[in-house]
Amino acid sequence: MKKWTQLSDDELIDVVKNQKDPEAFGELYERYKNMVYNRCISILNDIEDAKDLTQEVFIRAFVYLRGFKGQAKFSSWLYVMTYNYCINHIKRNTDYKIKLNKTDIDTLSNGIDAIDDTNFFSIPVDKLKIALNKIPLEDKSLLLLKYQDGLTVKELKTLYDISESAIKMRLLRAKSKLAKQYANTRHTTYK
Amino acid sequence: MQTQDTQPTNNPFKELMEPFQKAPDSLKDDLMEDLQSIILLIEFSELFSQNYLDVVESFFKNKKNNNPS
Repeated sequence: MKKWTQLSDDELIDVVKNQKDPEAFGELYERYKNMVYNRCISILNDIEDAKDLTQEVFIRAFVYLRGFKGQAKFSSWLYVMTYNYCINHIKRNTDYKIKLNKTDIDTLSNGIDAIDDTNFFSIPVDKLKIALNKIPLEDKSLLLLKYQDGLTVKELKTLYDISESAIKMRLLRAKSKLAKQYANTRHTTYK
Repeated sequence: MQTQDTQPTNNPFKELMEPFQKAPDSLKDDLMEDLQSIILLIEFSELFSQNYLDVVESFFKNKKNNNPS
């Protein structure tokens, strides 16, 4: 029999799903623990919370793995779960619950100006950091998933379980908010 | 609509990444301990035809109540 380390993610996932084997899941944990931990730190800015949430994200991943059908990479699925879980944690602590609203896109007005990615990427890093911290967490996480973690629109569509046009509209809306914040913070000094 | 998947090389989002930190080793021990409880809960809920997600959520609630941060 192969050792856990010799199995692919998909093979390990099958073992976990069929046998609820904690050792197989432990191997998945080893592969992705640092990714999840570092994402938690970057969202929460708190080491102790990041430790707790890393553990909770993996427990939930174990539980919800039954629903993972392999349309996206396991790492992408875990990325989105980490972001959503951290965002929910922050909002829970401010007495505000969020859910991924599958229909809110319908309420968006038309005519948001498209923002060219080339111009968008010319924002200096320090200003980008300030502007990102001033937009809603859901928008921030979507932009980070897309532009930092490199998830494609197709992957995001699958993971958020909404249409491709809805993902594109959300990205556009997030970029629009970021651009406005950038315009406001253009003269702010980064600390 | 500018939502293409191709990204330029000078992507400032990549530069935003925090310095890499290694997850503490102690996390795995705690995780494995919790997983044993979760597996038992799932097996019990299957045995008694309960919704395992509800049972698991109760586990998290109890855990938080017992370890308020």
